[in-house]
Amino acid sequence: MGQDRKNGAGALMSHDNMGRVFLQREITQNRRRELLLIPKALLALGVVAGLVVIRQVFFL
Amino acid sequence: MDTRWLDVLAEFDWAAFGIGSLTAILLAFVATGAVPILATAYQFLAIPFHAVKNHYGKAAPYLPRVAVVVPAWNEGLVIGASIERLMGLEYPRECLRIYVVDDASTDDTPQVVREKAELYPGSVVHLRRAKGGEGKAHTLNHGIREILKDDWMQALLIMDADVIYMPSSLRRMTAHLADKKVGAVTAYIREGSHDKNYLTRFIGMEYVLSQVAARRAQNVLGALACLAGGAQLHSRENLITIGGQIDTSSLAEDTITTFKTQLAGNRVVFEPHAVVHAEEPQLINSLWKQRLRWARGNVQVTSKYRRIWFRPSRKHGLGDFSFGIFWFSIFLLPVAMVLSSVGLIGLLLLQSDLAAVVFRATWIIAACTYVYTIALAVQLDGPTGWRSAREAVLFPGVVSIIVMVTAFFPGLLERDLPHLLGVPVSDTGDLIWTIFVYAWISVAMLGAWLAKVVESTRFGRVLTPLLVYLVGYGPVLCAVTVDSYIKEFRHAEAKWDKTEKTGRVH
Repeated sequence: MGQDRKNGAGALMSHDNMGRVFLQREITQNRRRELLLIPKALLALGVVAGLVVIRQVFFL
Repeated sequence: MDTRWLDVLAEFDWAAFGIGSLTAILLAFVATGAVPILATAYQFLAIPFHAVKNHYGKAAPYLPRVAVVVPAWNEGLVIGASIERLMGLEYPRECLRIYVVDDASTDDTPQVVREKAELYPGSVVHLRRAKGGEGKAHTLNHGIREILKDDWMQALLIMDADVIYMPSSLRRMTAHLADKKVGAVTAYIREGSHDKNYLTRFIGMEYVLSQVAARRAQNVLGALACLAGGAQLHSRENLITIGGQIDTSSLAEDTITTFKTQLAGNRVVFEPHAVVHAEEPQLINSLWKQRLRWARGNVQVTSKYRRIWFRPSRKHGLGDFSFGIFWFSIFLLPVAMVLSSVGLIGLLLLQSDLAAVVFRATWIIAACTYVYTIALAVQLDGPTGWRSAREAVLFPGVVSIIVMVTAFFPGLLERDLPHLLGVPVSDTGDLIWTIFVYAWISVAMLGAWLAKVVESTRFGRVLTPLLVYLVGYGPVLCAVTVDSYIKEFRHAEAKWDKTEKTGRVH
């Protein structure tokens, strides 16, 4: 993967078609990485929910 | 003559009416304190929507000819490394030109830049202003005028002399310019100094919250508050649309450029995966100087664009209600904090049961928002979140966390803990504690100011970090905002105080 990235980056330096393929793949990867925002936000909300449960059970 | 209305007036319970009215006003004061908290919650709840509502669908492989303009005044320590890193960008060499605008530097900046120009002929250009000291915007405009003299430049990257671009950052930014509706793109400025201290770790966490997190939300909601001054990429068309130059009338030239771009109907995009490292202050006094400049700039922007707030437009999102609330939640945060304290203490003095109810409600919302934002933010930039874990947890300050615990877990600190320790709590002690927690949100700003004052004393090395951990980093920024109100009100001289950079970034 790392070597693949290096080759792609090298190819784009020469501005050819392989560079375009590499760049398009990078954009797609960035787009996919954004999907991780959903589980990350759910995890953060889960922490809040945990605290609310503790409050309800032990402090009210 | 009918005198019945006089009887009605005489029988009317004016005291109850007065107390009721006063209670309503005080409740409104407390509610103003809740607005910034709710705005933050709303903004951070919008972040996961960036998973589906982002600009990647319209981005495409695009490598325009980029002119990089670097304003430099006495940047001898950092400019060489910055140029080397720019030349190391994974970007076609023939599509990249670096214009260093030397603002009549008195150190070795000219020699360093000339050496680089000789090393990279045609790629590095040294421009020198005969008369310097007019500020960053004037320096940038000198370079932009030169760059616009021919048609070579297709996109303009404005950066600071000390920032270090990660190799893939520029091409990740240019991909968005493939969409002609996009006028400008900005990157994630990450605190990147190798010798971090407590303050740079706080700043690192602040940048995660305000950039990687909040700017994603702004992408979703359709209006961006600011293109980072150290990383703003404009299409040539956009640069010409906004007048072919940078605004020189304020201290917030980057925010004004951002607003002008969007008011012209062009879109502005934040690219979270384009990372740029910057060196940030290690001392509160340096941070204060930098942030005072930013805060005064924001006062000027708020006034300059007074006709756009809360006036929705089909052309841009700056007039949207949500954007206005975000903007004013930061701009008026100190006012909201003070009003909230006044409201709570006023209700307490009126012996209203509502004081405890609204205090608890406000701080429970604050606690939930704090936990959610920090838990999400540390995941958005793992390395920074890991390095700044202590600062992430203590971002609101130890005392504010105690106040949140008081509100969130009723009885724990004011009853259970003293009971466990065998310490009796008198009614007077209880009242003093209540007044303290009601006033704390405002008192914290005084604590932040104190942290700045003691920094230059011989105890500063120990006391200042201790105070910042106690009062929190947020109140430091709020105290700076108060200072900016005062300076603008007094029409204090608005000069460009450059933040000193020493090449600590890597």
